[in-house]
Amino acid sequence: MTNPPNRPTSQIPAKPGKPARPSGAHGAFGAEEVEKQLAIRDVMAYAVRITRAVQLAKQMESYRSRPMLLALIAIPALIVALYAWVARPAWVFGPDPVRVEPARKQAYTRFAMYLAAQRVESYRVSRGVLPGSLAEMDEEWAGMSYRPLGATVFELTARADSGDIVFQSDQSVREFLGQSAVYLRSRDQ
Amino acid sequence: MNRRGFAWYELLMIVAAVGSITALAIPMTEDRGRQAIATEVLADVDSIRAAVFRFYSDSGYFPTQAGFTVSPESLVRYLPAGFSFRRAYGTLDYRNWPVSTSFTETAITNVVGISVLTADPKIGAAAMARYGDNPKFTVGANRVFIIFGG
Repeated sequence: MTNPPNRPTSQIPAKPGKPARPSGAHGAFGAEEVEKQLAIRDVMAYAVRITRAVQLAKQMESYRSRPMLLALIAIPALIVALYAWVARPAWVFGPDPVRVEPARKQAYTRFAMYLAAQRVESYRVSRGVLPGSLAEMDEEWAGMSYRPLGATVFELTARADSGDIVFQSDQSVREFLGQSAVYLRSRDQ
Repeated sequence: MNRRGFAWYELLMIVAAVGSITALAIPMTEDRGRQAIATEVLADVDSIRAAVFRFYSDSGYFPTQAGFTVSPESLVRYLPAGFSFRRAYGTLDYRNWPVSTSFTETAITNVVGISVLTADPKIGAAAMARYGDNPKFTVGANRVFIIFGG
C-alpha cells in the first residue's frame, strides 16, 4: 500500500517566534490534535486568500460603444445582402444567362438564323437542291425550324420572346440582321 | 450599466451581420469556381483557335467541321497531344459556316468558331463575359458560340 501524498501545509515552516510544531506522539499534543489544527489553518488561509481576491477583483467594464459598433457592421451588411438577393448583381452571382436583354437575345437569334441560312444556301449551291432538314447538315439550333418554300427559296423560323422571327431566303440579309452584328462584339450590361 | 454578456439586440445584430456576410460569401465563392472553369473553357478555345490558324496558314482554307464533339481529323496534328473535345465542364464543337453573303462590309468566306455546351449555363455566360469584346453569341441557355475567324 502506498502512502498518501503530503498536504501542502506539511511543507510550511513554523512562523518565527512560535514554538516548533509538535510532532508525533512525542509532542505536547496528540497526533490527532495536530492534524486538526493544521486543517483549520488550511481552511482559514484559503478563506483569507479568496476574500482578498474577491475584494481585489475589478468589476467588468461597461462597453457603451458596443451596440453602436455592432449596428455599424450589421446594418450595412444587411442592406448589401438584401440588395444582392433582390437585384442579383453579377459581382455576387456572376453573369446570369437567363437575364439577357430582349434586344440582345433577338440579335443572337437573328445571327444564328443567318448562319443556318448560309449553310442551307451553301448546301443548295453544292448539291443543286435544298436540304430536307437542318439536321441533314448537322445544323441544329434550339427553337429553330426550317421549311423549303420551293426549289430555291426556304424559310427559317425561330422562337423569340416577342414572337416568332421569320427569315425567307429571298429577303435581304443585311436588313434581316440589322444591328445584330453590333451585339456580337458588345458586352452584356 | 455593467454588462456581463450580450444584450438580446446585440446578439440579433451579430446574427444579422454574420448571416448577411455568409449570404454574400456563398454565391461569390460559387462564382469564383465558375470563373475558374470559364478560364479553362477559353484556354481550350484558344488551343483550338491556334490549331485552326496554323492549319489555315499551311492550307489556305479553314478545316471543315466534323460533327458534334468530334475533332476534325485535319486539326488533330495541330492540337495539343491528347486534346479531347469532351471536357469535364461539357463539350466543344468546332464550327465552320461557309458564307456567301457577308454580314459585314468586309467580304468574308467563312465564319469559324467553337460551340461550347455546358451543363451549368452560368459557366457559358461567364466564358462569354470573359471573352470581352470579341464576337460571341448564345442560343438557348447552355450553348455559347465563340467566333474567332471569318
